[in-house]
Amino acid sequence: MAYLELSHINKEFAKSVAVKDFNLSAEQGEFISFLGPSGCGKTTTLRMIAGFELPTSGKIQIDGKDLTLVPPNKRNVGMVFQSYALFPNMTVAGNIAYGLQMAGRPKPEIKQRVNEMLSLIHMEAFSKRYPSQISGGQQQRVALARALAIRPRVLLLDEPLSALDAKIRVELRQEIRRIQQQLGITTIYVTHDQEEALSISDRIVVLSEGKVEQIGSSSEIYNFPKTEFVANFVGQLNLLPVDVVNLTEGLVKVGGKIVKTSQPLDHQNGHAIRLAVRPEELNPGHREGENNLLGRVSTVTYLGPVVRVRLDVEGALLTIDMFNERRLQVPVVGDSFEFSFHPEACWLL
Amino acid sequence: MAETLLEIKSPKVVDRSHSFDSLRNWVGVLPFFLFILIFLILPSADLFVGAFQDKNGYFTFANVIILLTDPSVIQAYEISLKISVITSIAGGLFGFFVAYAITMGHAPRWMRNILMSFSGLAANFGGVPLAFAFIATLGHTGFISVFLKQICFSNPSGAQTCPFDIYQAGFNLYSLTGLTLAYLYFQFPLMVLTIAPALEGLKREWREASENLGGASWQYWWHVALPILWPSILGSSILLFASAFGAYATAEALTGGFINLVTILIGDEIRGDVLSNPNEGYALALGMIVVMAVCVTVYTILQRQTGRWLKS
Amino acid sequence: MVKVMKTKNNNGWGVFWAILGMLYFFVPLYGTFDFSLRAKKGVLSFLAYQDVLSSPQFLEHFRYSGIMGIITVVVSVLIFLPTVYWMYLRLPQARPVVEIISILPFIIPAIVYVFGLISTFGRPPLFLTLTPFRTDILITVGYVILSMPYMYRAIDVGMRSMDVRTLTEAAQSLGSNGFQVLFNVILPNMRIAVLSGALICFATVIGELVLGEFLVRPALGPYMVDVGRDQAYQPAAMAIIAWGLTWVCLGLIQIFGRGGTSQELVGR
Repeated sequence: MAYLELSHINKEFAKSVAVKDFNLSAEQGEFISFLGPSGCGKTTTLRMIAGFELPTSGKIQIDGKDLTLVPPNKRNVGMVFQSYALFPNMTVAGNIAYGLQMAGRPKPEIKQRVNEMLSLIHMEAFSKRYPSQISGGQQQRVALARALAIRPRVLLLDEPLSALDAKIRVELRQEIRRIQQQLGITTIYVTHDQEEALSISDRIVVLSEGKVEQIGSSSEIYNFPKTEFVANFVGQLNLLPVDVVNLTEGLVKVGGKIVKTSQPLDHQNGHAIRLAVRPEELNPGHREGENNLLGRVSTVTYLGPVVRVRLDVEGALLTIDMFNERRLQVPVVGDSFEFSFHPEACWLL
Repeated sequence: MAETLLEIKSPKVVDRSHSFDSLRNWVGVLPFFLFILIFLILPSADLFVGAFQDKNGYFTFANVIILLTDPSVIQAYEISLKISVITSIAGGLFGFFVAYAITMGHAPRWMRNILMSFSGLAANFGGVPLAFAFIATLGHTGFISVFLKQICFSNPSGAQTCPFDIYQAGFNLYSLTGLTLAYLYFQFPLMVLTIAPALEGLKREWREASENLGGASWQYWWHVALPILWPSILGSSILLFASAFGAYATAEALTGGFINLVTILIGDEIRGDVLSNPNEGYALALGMIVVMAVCVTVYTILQRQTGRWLKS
Repeated sequence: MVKVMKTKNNNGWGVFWAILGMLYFFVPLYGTFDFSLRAKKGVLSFLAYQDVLSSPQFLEHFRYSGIMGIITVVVSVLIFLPTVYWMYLRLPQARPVVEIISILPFIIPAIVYVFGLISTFGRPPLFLTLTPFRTDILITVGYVILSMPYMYRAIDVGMRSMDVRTLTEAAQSLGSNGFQVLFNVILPNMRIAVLSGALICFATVIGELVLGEFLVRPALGPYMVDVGRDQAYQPAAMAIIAWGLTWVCLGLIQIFGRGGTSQELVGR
């Protein structure tokens, strides 16, 4: 039995279904991200775990106990809100102490725990400040400390970094991960930023329109996406229409040339077959033993560390990302361009 | 020759001294300030000065002293204060609960809309029409008075008793009690209008955060919501107080000036009815302005405090 | 043992207070309406309304207040609109001062203000209370000042929602001078705000009592008090008419405006 278990969770509102048959088993200490575009149901599911929404059907269990109908103030899960939701009339210390106060803990214990939390987030000097007197990033850390102070069984974070600058975001997500690992607390992290999810999670749940598209580790999600949505949402994807030669062997034809793929499709589900390959897997030039194709350069975009070239291949536009090197000869628009990729790098959709 | 040609003359820097420029900027608002000066400041200053003058124009504190010693004046202030405090507290409480019902109490949408629009209406519906409405409702032959009088029960002995005759029970619309009821009619919607935005400013996440951390509903209100709201509540109450204290029309229309309010007293003074010393009227007016100024100042300070928290 | 969560908290209390509130609003209104229909003994009729609306004095006083209302609106807009515009454009530092000034009429109750007006301007050499025309000037000024908080607020809110500076610069770069910018660019965008302010202004003037009474002008307010002293049913009818008028004004604001203005109405 996993530490956090969500079974067949459904959530329907008057006019729509927000979450369909959500299942998840999370081990203790795992860091799991819910990743998906706006409206995919990730926040709704999080709020159901917290108790602010009631699932239409399904069960939520933590550490073996069924929490589905337990009111939110009795669940002992800690939540960090997107807008931080710090109480403006209390100091930083007051905010952090709130949960312990509600639990009726004795004053010395509260004081000690608050100090513990303050040193965890490196904000000992700010204990007497008010939320309006500290920056966004600092407020975020206080919100985290406040949620952790009650020693929750599960930590829930609802897009906690979306309101912050890019640079602080990167710093803080590492910070959150570090603290999480230090405390060994099971964590659910909701985000629409794939880089965030990929960089700090143990596993990722990719959601779209209320449905779970895939659950897996970062590399599984990125390199072996199970659905077209996941492949498109996480990272960039090239889709090339192809003519089928032999489906079970994964052989297709692009403009007369044979292309070998690694994942054969056992059936054609009604629509045209396409070849899927990521831009960074395409290499300039000819390579023996790999798939080699020809295209015409359409645009060249210089992005700094990466040079992005768009190619016209048999009428379809393909993107190839090349590492920028000083000795690189940047392709010219209109040129003919040969590129290659390994059969293992592509698959059929 | 060539040198003069090559000599590049830098253009003369036009020195716009700050004061000249900023002076010009004030020209546009001059008409407004002039208007205010002549038609608002001047009359008020006139009252202010007149309060400290005697009949012949010499400086004196006598008027102010009369203010503090004349029994009819003291009584007027007492009555004005009494009705203002009572209606601001009662209207404040009732208004708070209705505003709560509108914003957070999950009352049905149609009720909320009606209450909000009527609050806007009733807060403006003061003075004469209000007095007439109350006379028509609670006067001797008013709608409610008659209605209550007609609720009759049969006695065991077979006779009819009609115990709800309010006028028999001593109620009189044309008294302080009646006036209080009438004032409440525009006090509580005023409270609803001014406190509803504050209640709406209470973020849902605060309540959820409190629940998430183990707090029950009353703990949320006690530790978070009320501390955040109290500047607004106090501010609105002060607004209510000032509104009642300065009201004239309702009292005049309802009681014909029989109830001794400060505003009525000033009205009499203007007509030359009562006080023998005209400058005393100035002192009365001045006293009133002082009270109102204090109210509005405190209100403004409290509003700033509210703005800080509810905008965060 | 496990408490089942209520899906909607506090539904009961909310409804209770809402109903109580609605009762308190409606009962006097209904009572007044009912009372106003009883002018003819034993029959419900609109006799009281007919009396009121056909009375020449009522119409005269209504006309006077109506005209004064319109004049007040025009004067208010002429004074406040350019001032606020100028303030936004060139003199933002004047803002706190102007805002405090706009609240002054709240500090100075109407009765006190009229006292000051009479004592200042009733004296030589102005003698503004001597002739009806001069008193009319005085009362107009008084109305403008009394409705200043609402008019200023409405114009301020309207201008705040436009980026005044950028619009002006764009217009100027295309060749307009100051007046053209004001009339062709600013004013059209302020129509709703000005309308809200105008309606509140108008409603205030129609219902105003103190200035009309003490400056002895034939305004509607004092007339209604006089009628109220002698008659029984007509005052109730007049109250309903006044209520209807206010309702129409506010309704128009809601229709043309963006809703939020009803929250800014602060009453007497």
